[in-house]
Amino acid sequence: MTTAVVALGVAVLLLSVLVAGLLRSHAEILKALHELGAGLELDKDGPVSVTIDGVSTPRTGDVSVPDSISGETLDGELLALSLLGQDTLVAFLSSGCSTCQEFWTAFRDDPPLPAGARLVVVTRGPGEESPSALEKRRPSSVPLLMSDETWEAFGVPGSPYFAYVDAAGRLVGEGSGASWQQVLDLLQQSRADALRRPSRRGPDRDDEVLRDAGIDRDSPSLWEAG
Amino acid sequence: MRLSGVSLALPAGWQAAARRNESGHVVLHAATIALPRSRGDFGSDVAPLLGADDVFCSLFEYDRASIETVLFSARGLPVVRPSDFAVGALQRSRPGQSGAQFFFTQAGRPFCLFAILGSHGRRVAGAARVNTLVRGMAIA
Amino acid sequence: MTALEEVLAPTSFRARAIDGLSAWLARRTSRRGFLVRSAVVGSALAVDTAGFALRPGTAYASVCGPGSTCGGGWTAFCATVNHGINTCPPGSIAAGWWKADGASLCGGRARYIIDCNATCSRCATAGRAGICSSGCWSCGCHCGPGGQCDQRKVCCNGFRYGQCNQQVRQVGGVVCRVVSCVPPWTFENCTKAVATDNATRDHSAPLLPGPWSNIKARYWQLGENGSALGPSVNAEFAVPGGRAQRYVNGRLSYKASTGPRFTVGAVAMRYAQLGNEAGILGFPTHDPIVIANARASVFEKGRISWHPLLGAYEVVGPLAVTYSAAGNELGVLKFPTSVPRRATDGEGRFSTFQRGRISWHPSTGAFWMGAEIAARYVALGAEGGRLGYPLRNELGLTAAKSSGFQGGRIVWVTAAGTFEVYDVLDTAYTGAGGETGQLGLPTAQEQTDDSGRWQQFEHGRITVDPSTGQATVSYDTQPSPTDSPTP
Repeated sequence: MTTAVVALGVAVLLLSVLVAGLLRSHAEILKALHELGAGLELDKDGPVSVTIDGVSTPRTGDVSVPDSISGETLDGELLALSLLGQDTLVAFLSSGCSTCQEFWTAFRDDPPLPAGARLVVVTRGPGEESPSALEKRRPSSVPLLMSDETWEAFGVPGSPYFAYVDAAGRLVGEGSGASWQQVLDLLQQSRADALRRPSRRGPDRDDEVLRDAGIDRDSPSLWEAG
Repeated sequence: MRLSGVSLALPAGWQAAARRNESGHVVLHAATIALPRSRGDFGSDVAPLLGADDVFCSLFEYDRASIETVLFSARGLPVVRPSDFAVGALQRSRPGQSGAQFFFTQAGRPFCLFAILGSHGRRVAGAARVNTLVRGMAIA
Repeated sequence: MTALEEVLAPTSFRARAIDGLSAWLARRTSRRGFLVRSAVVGSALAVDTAGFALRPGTAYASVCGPGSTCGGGWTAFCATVNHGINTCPPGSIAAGWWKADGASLCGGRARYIIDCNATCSRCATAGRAGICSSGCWSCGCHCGPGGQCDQRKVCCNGFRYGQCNQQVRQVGGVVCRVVSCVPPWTFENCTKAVATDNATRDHSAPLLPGPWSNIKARYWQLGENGSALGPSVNAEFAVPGGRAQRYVNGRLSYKASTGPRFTVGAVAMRYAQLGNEAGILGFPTHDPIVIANARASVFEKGRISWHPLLGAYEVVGPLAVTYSAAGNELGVLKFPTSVPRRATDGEGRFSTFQRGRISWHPSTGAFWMGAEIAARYVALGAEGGRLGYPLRNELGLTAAKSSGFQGGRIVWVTAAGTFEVYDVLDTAYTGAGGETGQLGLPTAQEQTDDSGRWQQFEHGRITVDPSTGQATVSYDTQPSPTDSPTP
């Protein structure tokens, strides 16, 4: 019994050292990447792409994205989501790509996201994707759409691929990553950068919301008692 | 989105889901929150998730023969007023919430539009939001 | 205590060993803090994580299921507010329905819930079709009655599902809900437009039938509310030897050896008067038998027959056996016209029928007689008269019928009437071959004169010597061929 315990402790020690080494080298890699200027950073002129070995090459140049996306769910429903009003990270995945597997696993149970942001997974449509394979990978709390149209609208070059759309409907970041944590870290960094920019919200933005709701400044409903 | 002759231009900040049910009829849900996967046809699973400013709408289709009945005698998609909402007009009453139901026929098809407001006290804005949604609907 | 806490607290040898090792390593390396933490984490990971499993959710805690409080916002069941009856109460109307799929309360099938909405009886209604203003409703909002768990709302929710009674422009709020395992359009004026809401799948109430059972399965097969039984009344319950469920129009009884069997209408009412399953008839063994516009039900120990012009009467025990042998309602006796009665001696029983009678004594058994003989038998005092109890079923002959009794026999002769043959005369008659013997049929009642007792037959006479009491048979002519008796 004592021998077993000691052997276990030695194994634990060795594993711990290994993990520590891996974490340290990982941190050094990230630091190096940051020093090289890589990451999901906000750029006044458009998105900045990140490429990691073995994943798709992002596009360059300005890309306009639709105000809403729609597609078929695995439950057979047609689902449409407005991209306005909330930051949205759109994850373009497929059931067959090996690099996507880590993301399927990470998304299975309530993945951590930056505050105020939501995650949506979009795959190819039923003609090019396997609903049964997707069913096995289906996240429990993240919407999953099957939509060729959305892939085309975002000009997705391949999977995995990510597009970050802010609440105003602007594509502020896109690219690929080898791991969810990597994407998350870069996303958080880009959001932090975005906070340093002047906000578009304010009185003008409030008027915009009211007008969208059909209420202008002369609307009598503004003056009715609640 | 478009399904079986029912189309919707989604307003900013909304989410919508549509399907054809076992009767072959359209059931369309739209809300200002993320729609849960499991939903009663008139939003029983959605209502508890609504915040004070949130709205849920269900467009539910009936058998064609029902257009001959007095219940579906109103023609055309409704225009919703704040006074249409009542705190008791809910499938499942919840504190602070209110609902409004409209039975109508459009393009020879009978429907019910049911709207739930997260807060009855904000029904002026809520009714306006419902109207924005309805203006984006078309039924053929 | 979590696995981590267990590791950190040096109460077990394992924990102490790992802790000690970590401390030793920590003292000997420049990164001792890091290594200690790593060792602890590693140890924690090495521990079985079963202890971290979520505590199981609370089981279905009450018969009413989830959302049964008034604050839950749902509507109560009609069984709760309508004297246990699972139907729309007076003053309400079915206004719509939905289904909940995969309901265990329906044996895994869809469970249908029908909203019974109030009528707009208090005022003339205006406004759009659907729901009238609450001031017009035929009821007021309140919670379910106390003393039971279905505290849900009554006449509060102003919502209309809309598939039912679409000819009614406006209705009031939902008074209560009816549940069914068969589609509502089979028993209410509703269309088939399906609405689904699985949130209500397990809602129930104490006065609803209860979990899926043999009885519920049979009720489902029969068509539930749309069947002859009608809506259920209260929950299923145990009875000696089995289970039972009441309905507006009848009852379902279940016993393992008989299966679920139902009784309905007047038969069910009579069965109830007799004590149902614990009464003299026991459990029903068959579903109701339809006989034109009449009905009959068979039980372990008897039968109840009902005719619209006569009523419902039971035939019990040995009388029921004899009745069955005589062909029951379609036999010679036809329908019963009385409940079993006690004979005048207090020991025997008899039942009367449209076309006869059955009499029973523990020492002789039960035997039937047809209408003509029964009428004469009653006129002679029936079981308490000189003839006593019957000893055989009536015999049918070509031109006559005959029944034998303890004290003689009655012979009914076509176009001639009925004749009794008593004691020694009957004994001698039997010895001479009876109705099919040489004497033939009796042609007159017994006579008494100076020569003693005597009785005339077709082909002879039987006389009783007054001094000896012996009977003598004398023939008028040679014997002629006679008919064989038809039993």
